[in-house]
Amino acid sequence: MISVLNVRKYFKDVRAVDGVTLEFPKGTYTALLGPNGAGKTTLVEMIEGIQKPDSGEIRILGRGWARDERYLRRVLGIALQETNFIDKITVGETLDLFASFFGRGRDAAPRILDLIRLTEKRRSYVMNLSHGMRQRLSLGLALINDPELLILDEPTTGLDPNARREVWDILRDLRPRGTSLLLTTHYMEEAEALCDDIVIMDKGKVLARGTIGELAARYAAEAALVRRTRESRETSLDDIFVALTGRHLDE
Amino acid sequence: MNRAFRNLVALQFKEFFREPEIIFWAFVLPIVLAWLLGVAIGSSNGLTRTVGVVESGEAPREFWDTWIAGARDALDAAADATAAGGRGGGEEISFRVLPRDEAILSLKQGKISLFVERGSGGGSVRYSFDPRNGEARMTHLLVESALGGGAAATGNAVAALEVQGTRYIDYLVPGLLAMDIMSSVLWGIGWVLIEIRIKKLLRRMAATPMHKSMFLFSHFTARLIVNAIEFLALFLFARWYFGVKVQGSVPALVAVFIAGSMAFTGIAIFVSSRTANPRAGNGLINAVTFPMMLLSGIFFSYNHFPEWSIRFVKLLPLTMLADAMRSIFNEGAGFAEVGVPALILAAVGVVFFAAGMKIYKWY
Ligand SMILES: Nc1ncnc2c1ncn2[C@@H]1O[C@H](COP(=O)(O)OP(=O)(O)O)[C@@H](O)[C@H]1O
Ligand SMILES: [Mg+2]
Repeated sequence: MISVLNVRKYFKDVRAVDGVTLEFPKGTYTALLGPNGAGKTTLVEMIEGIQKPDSGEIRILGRGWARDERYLRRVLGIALQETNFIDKITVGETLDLFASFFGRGRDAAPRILDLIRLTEKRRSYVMNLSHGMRQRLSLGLALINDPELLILDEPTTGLDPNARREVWDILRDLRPRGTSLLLTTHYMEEAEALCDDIVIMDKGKVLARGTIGELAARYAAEAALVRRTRESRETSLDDIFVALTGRHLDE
Repeated sequence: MNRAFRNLVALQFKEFFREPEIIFWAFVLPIVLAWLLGVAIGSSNGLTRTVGVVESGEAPREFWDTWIAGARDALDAAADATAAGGRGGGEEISFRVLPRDEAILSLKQGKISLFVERGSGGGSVRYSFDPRNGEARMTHLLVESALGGGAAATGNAVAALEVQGTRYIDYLVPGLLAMDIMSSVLWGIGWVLIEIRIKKLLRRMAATPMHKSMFLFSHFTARLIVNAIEFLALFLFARWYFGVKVQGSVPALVAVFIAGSMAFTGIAIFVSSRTANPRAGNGLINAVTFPMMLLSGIFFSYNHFPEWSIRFVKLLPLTMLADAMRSIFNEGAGFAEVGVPALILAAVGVVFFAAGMKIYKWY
């Protein structure tokens, strides 16, 4: 579905993405897990055709940004790490605006409102929404074109546990449709709760990849060393991260 | 028409009309400004309708006292005869006695617009003024016709036409309308686009199949409609309160209005093409609008400026727009006179638009 081949992007002396090679198969939910500054946004925005790699190649559904931008814009659903909407435009109007960008009819917005559970707020100005509702609106815009592939950059950062769980529920509901998901996060619970495929990233590089089970098995010995100081008996993603980098995820 | 385009235009309107302060700045302020300036400058003896009277050996004060008294009577008689015009006419003229070098200085500073000296033969006088200064020519004409022709001879239609269109308010209103187009477009398109970029909404919109030129064109369309409403509001006020009239071709006025909006839309898109910093964006727009407001002869004629600078000032889009509108309002101009400036303005818009699109930062 997506293939990333030896992609690099430097900002002056910062190696934001430093030679990443990854394949994302169709139908999987993949988490790109890493602390702040790991290069998640840079990588994901290169996949989304918003930033250009210094070198390397990115292909989505067998196509590249240089030649097939219009096609790729049509099939991708994305939510950026940060987007502010126009204060005095309502939720429904915002969704309908984006629906029209995709050539969708007036029926698209109500359907998405239902999906993101904002139907009651459709006449509210965006300025009057809570942070959680805004994140759901962002998610709704990503879903407005019924994309096969959904790319979300930190969809739940800054949300309280309830608001976070609401987003997770919406994403889980999409699974039966065969949607593929790539999401970035620095919450290991999020990666564990939603994704079967986890990519651990730090300082522009991919450190490890696999299911939770695979990662736990592969790094059991190292994680056990780390864990000795604590009471837990399970190997957590955080233990694995500490074993790989010597730091905690949220540091 | 395309649904995305209609949605985008509607969005501009909703944003505009759901913001009460914007209504104030867009509609009320220009009217208040026109009213204040029109009343303050238009009806008092103001800045330029003062005649300097040069005192000298052969023309002592007593000579002038008699001359001024005569001129005043003649002017009063003339004013009574042509009192049909709107309010705030401001044809009042005052006289100031002063020595010659002071008269020259006052002329330079705009405190007087012309001065009179005693001529060679008997009771005759000689006027000195800059022939390119319309205010001075007008003052001269008023004094001369009052003294020479008498009230009965100037009370005809030709004299009335000369008066209509030379009041300060007649000069001011077309300029204010032009300035409104400029600031409305630069803030309403340039600043709005920068703001959308700052919100990171521009990159989100650009990351859809939305056509980018259609997106920019929707801003132009929405602004054109808003500008037309603003234009009508100020014009209708000026017509009702001050009796300002369009003496020339209305289709030509519409063409100039659209061409001016095009010019400033191009400039606004160019100005908004890169920055995502509110202070830089604000500064850029001020840097474009402010000099033009001062230099383009909106409030006072640029003909007082040094000769070398006038050629430059005439190239400014706002000067072109204001001059074209003024000639339609006051000189009865039509397509023949304003066709060229309108085409230049439209071309300015196209060139800046193309340049802006080339360097536009969407993400
Ligand atoms: N436009 C930019 N200019 C300079 N440095 C940048 C830019 N974007 C990202 N960086 C740097 O690249 C690194 C990775 O950033 P980012 O991709 O945003 O990480 P993450 O999303 O994982 O927090 C950080 O050190 C960040 O400061
Ligand atoms: Mg990020």
